[in-house]
Amino acid sequence: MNDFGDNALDFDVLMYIHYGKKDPKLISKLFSAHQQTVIKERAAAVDVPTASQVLEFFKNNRKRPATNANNKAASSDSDSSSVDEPPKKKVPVQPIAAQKKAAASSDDDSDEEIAKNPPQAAAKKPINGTMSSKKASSESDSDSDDESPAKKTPVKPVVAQKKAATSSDDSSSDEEVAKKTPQSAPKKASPAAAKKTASSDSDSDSEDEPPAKKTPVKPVVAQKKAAASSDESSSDEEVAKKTPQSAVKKPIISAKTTPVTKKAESSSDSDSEDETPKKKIPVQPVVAQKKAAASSDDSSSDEEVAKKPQAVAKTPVTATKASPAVTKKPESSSDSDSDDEPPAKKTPVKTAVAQKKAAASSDESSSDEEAPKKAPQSATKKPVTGTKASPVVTKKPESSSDSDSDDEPPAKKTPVKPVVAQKKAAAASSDSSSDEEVAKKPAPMMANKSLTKTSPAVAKKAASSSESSDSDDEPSTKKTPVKPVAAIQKKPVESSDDDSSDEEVVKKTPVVAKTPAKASPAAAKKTASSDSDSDSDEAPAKKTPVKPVVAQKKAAASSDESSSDEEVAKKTPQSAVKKPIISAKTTPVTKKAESSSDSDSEDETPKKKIPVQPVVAQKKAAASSDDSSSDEEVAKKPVNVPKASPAVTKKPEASSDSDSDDEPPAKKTPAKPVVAQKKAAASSDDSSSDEEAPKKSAPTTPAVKSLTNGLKASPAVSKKTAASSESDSDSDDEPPKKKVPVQPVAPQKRAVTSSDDDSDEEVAKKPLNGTKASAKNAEASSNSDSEDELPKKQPLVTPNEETDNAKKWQDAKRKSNEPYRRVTISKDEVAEKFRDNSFDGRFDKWGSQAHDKLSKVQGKNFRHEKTKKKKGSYGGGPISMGVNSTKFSDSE
Amino acid sequence: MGRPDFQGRSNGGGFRGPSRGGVQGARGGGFRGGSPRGGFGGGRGDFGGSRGGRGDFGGSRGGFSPRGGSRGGYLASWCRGGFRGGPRGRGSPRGGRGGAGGMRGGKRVIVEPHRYEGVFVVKGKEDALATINMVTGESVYGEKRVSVENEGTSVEYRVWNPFRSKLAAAMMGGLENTHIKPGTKLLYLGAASGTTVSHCSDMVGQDGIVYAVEFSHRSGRDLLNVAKKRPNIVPIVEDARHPHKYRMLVGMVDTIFADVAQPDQARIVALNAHNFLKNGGHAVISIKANCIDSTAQPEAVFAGEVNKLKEEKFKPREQVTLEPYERDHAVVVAEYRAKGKK
Repeated sequence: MNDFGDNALDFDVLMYIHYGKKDPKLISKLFSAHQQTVIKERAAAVDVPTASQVLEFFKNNRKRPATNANNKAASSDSDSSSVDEPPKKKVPVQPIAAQKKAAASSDDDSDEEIAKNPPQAAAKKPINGTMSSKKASSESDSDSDDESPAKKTPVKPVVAQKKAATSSDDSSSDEEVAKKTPQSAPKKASPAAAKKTASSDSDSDSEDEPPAKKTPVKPVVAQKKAAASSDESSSDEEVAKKTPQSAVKKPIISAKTTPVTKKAESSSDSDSEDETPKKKIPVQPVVAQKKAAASSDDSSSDEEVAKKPQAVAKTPVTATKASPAVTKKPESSSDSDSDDEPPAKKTPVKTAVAQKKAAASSDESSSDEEAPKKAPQSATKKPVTGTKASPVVTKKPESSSDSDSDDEPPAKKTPVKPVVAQKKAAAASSDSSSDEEVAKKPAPMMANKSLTKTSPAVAKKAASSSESSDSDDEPSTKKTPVKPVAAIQKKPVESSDDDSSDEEVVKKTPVVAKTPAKASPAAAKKTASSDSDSDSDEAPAKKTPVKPVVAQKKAAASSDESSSDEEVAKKTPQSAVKKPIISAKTTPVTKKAESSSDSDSEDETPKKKIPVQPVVAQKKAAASSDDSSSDEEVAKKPVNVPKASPAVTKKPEASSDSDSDDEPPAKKTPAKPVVAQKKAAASSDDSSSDEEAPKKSAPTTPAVKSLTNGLKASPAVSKKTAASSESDSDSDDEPPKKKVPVQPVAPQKRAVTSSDDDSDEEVAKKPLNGTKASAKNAEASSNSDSEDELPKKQPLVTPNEETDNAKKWQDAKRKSNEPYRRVTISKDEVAEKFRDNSFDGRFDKWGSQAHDKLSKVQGKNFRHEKTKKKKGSYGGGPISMGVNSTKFSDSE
Repeated sequence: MGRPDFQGRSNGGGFRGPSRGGVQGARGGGFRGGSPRGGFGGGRGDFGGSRGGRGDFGGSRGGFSPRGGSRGGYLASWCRGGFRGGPRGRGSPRGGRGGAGGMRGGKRVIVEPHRYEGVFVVKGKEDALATINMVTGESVYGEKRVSVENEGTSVEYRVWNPFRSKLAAAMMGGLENTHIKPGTKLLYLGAASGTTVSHCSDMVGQDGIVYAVEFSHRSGRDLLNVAKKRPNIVPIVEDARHPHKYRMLVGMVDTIFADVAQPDQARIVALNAHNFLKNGGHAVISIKANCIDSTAQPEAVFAGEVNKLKEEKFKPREQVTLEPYERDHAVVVAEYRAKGKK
């Protein structure tokens, strides 16, 4: 609790501590040696709240939120409540990173929202929040960002250390994922799903949930991804924010949106930063540090995650927070520049955020504002900030870990802190977040949160059917078996679609509670931000081994993914939130579309895929409105409040153009890094593919990761690239999602459930994924989408089979595209004299009359006219008995 | 032939009007009234009942049996045949009252031989292709008839509408040589209801023979009815793709006319040519571009078919479009196993 007051949430530290308790082995995976040392230092310096403390804190806060919830300002309350667990974690985190605080503040908002949501009950509200948040943020990006933010919260600290935008981004994405998974599965899942669907980011988040992978990745990601990570984080944050926001209530959204708008106004970066600051407000101290927009995002995402874990309500809140963060991130990410700016902005923003939150109210800003508002409003923003930050932090980790781990959050948080430290140190804040997430997801989520989360996740999933389901499924799968093995294999191979499908399947079938919920979030994330998620997740996992490369790759991919994730998250949340979300989402979608077709398409595809509700996916693709619809549908189906709330939050973000814009930039930036490192500056697609390839190759050991990365990369690429890349990205996104979860979780989690099957498939796919990803990339646009779809359908089978089938399909399609022709020669090849088969009236006077009439008619009329001429009474005048034929020469 | 001067007997002759005209007496005049339509009232066709496949020629109402009873009067130079009601192959409406307005009855028209042996051009206000009706007094498909009386002998011509026959359309289009003339042994692939076959039958005359191959039983029934009245037609209801099935019925032929409208029609023609076409014989092939490849350009399709024929020992001689009588059609004349260069 004390820490909460500090606002500084060190997600890495929380992750580190959490994992240290839950699964020390993951720490090494998630954090590099350097990161570990840094995190340890931080952990030592920070007083990590215990789970009980966090719970108490949240309980206390919840009361506020409850009241506040009524006002919407209650976001802080909800946060506190939801955050209860998270707060503890956050507390430590707060001290760690001012940035994190900002995120935390956002998270707090989200948490509050989430808390509110639960109390408020309406799953839709949360969803709306998510939706809105997502919408507010650029579609996918915002979503992914939101989620990522949640994750990032922890990351933020890292980012602060690293400060590079990349680190913040990565951390954000990772954190988001982690948060999502850890957090109540539903909430997280929804965010994750949203992220995935929206952009690969969400997927990555879910995948990231496999914290282990992410953790490693995070550092790398943070560095390399910087920009991308920031994007992802933003997306994650957005998602988180959205969900939370939605959960938190529309008012919150409005508040967030306003912030977002503000950010957008100032500059994408500044905007994102602003948003993050707003979110962070509670974290303001951290914000002051601002490390970067990403950090803010991360914090937000972290917060979101934390919130999620705490409770479904919280998850949404976190989501909302995350979304804001995401939105911020995108902007900032779009620029690492923004990162720098973000900090400055953040500091100011924080205050501003508070202000904004209060006033805010527009779309993205609504999401962003919501986050901030929630934080400030709910707990009296200022005081709350501190408290919120702590809660947020906890939440973020949870949420990021994914809804998986709402319950987990506490445990996770503890680990998270360390992770955060690591992240900060390594600058792979995202990684740490992912690590945290993974840790949280697997252990806490599985046990405590899994159930709670699953329900929420399920609800979310239902709400955002595909997304939520995806996210849920993924989380579950990821958490248990998936993370280690499945995530890696399946995710990469399957591609976002597969992930989504898998997730969907999981969600649908599992609906049960925990597993499904988790899976759904993960799936959602994967699908939505398959790229970002996969990237982030994969990247982290891979990165640990290949960290640098992966990080870079992931960064690019992550950004894309994040966008997609965000979109997905937004969509799903939106659906839940429906009304608010829709509007928000639509706006975001449109924005995304505007910003980059890729992100939109990706987002759409992911979303669609995730929900499985074809309509939704299609709608998303078609337009922002579509997204919203799909989201709405998803939200409705799941009925889960948490997801819906996240979606709502996301929507707001998405709605804000700045968010979408931010996301794309973020993606781009990451992509660039990746490209530079791996392939250089190939086209975004290339970069994505390149990234994938590098990931695959480099991380071979992490093969799965690499694959996942590849998938992620592909998504990222898709995001990067425009429409063409989009389709790829979609497919990529799916894989990423799967991969993400798989990588970290894969071995552990995937085995677990039906969702696991998906994960397993993903795992199997992993290698395949790489190939698929490449193939998809090559195919690009349309093909990739179709492919993705196919994978989804088949996902249940085996990853490899899916990939193979997909490939075969593609090949068959391509081949079949060429129609059979009996006549291959063209008119031009015919001798001049035979080149005109038309009537020459000069010779046949008798026929010229008929020609005059018949030449003017077609089809039925021709038949009619000709019939008249068949009458015996018809006469055409004189008949020429000359020769008018075209002779063939002897040589012919 | 001199001028035909239609004898319009009772009614002023002209073309027989609408088949059923009232009783001849009653109707007076004009062409159409004619009467004679003889009886084919409903059935129009001579083969009266045949249509149903019954085959009885002249059955009850058959032949000219005056359906109108006595009406018959007449004969105008134009006689309209009865329409055989049955399934006439394509063109349902065909036959309708062919004569209805047609050449004005009673008008004097001049019949001139066409460049193609066996084909005539009826010159009047409106020119028309025609062939000498082998079965005087009968119309095969409701076409108009023009009878010319010259020095005590009367010759009846059947008007040949190029919109109903691709061969006629090719003639109208200026085909140099159809290679169908009196005495020609013709293998007609795609005989359908026998409308064009009937004209071919007229063209080849008593000395020639037409092997009419049609795979459709429905059309084949009409074809059979046509063949019943025309001794020089050998109806074959078989698939032209399997010439060995009717190899026992067909001897060596001078010309193959193909209107099968099948994607593999070049192959079908080649198969039959290999079996029945004499060296130096000709194949007259009507090509419907849409049946070969509806997506390709007609000219390209025609060229493609020509190339296929070349591969089958055919030497293309000429090509003519069937516009405006048919859309995207062309008729190609090719010589089979041509002897040296000419």
